[in-house]
Amino acid sequence: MSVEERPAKDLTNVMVSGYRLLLDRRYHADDHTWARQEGDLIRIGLDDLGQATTGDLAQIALRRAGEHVRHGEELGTLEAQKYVGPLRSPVCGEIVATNEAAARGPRVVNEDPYGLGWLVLLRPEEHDDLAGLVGPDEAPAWFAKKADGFRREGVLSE
Amino acid sequence: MRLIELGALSPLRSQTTYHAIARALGPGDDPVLSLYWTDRPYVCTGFHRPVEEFDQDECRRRGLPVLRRQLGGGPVYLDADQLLFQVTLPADRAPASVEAAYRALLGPAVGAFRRLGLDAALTGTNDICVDGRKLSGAGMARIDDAVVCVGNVILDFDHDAMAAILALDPGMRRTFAAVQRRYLTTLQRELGRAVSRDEARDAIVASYAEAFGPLEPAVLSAEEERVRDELDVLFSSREWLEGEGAGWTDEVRQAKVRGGARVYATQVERGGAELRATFAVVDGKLEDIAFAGTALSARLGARLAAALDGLVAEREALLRAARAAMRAAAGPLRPEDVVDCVLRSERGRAT
Repeated sequence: MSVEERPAKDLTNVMVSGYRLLLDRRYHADDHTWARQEGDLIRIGLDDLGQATTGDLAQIALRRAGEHVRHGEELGTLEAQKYVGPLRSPVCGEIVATNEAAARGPRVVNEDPYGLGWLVLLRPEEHDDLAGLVGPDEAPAWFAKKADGFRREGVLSE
Repeated sequence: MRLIELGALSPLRSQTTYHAIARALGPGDDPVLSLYWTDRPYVCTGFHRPVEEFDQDECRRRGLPVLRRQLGGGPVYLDADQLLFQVTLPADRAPASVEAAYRALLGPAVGAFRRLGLDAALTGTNDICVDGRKLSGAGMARIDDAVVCVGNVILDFDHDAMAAILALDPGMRRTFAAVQRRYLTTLQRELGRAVSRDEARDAIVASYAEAFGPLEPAVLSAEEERVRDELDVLFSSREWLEGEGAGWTDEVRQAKVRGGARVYATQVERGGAELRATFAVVDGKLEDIAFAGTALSARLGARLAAALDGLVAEREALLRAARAAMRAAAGPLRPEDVVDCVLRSERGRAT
């Protein structure tokens, strides 16, 4: 496992096994989505390994603001390389806003998955919703294990 | 691995059957190889694509049903000369990346073409090609607990029908037809003889058995039939055909022939005059380029086309060629405008 700090002054932004990880948010261990608390709301996106294993995104279709989603339900769908897959919600709540820019130009998710490439802003129904996700203490080790495993399987390039 | 062979199916069932197998598959279930063909021609588009990409009048005139699948990619024309195969397996048994999943699930299909005597290879992510010509296309989806990869073995192909059913302007349609003939091939063309469905089927079955272990002949389970019946209704509905996912928009009019080969129609306006370009970009190089519009004479258009055809689609190379071709040209059009027009193709989405 290699965890390199980047940049030195921002300890929440690290490189783990060649992929970027932000420690100001929590992660779904299997779906590679992230969730960040922002006041009463939770912002959701795809993590760097999630976008890398999916490939260049051609399309993102998101559900509408006002709709409710439960844990594991679809927030929308994505398409890359003629593959269509679900974007699953790591928390339950009401969709408050969706990233229209990402829906219009999904490459932003590949280029900036933790920033401009966010997907959905959600008002959670339960305050402890994020507790089941991977937190900052465990995230580097979890992320490194996933990346190294993907490399061993030949899923990611060396 | 279960082997489900269903022979000729209606267009609707040729789509709903594999979706049903995927939806019914549980986490511990055996993978499934399913094989069949459509009993009559139809057109089908990808999950996120609008049916407006089809020329609806032409489809009606030809009596072609229009369907939408839950897989990616764009508009396709399907008929009885294509053997359709699908590999469905529990998602946790599929490689974690899209590219690796295609390699694993289409590798045996490449082997099948090799058994038939062709030097086939997986090209790009999901096309099976021989010497740059596409033999088979594929798409994939995660559906509930399953991953399904769908492909075809093209015994023969109606290139004219494929070009006719797309909503393209006449110039783009001509270019698409020409480029498609060059880069979308068939078993018959490559082998110089007709290949029967049975021969193609045997190659596919042997290759997947080699990769996945013995194939157990099976029929659809009661659950798979129940789900398929539900999907027959859903996939026939207007809501599905024009579903929320089908919101694809693109800045550029483009039509894909294979990975790395697309046909574009672009335009720019300069000083109230219009320049239109129709061309293909094949593995990074321009082919079949033609210019039209009020911004240039037919003679200059022909000179520019001759100068740019075959060049790498990069600004500097195109600019040099356009400058040389326009050395004595008068009017508001500049070489930079010509290059801008062509490179608008870069704004198109990767599909």
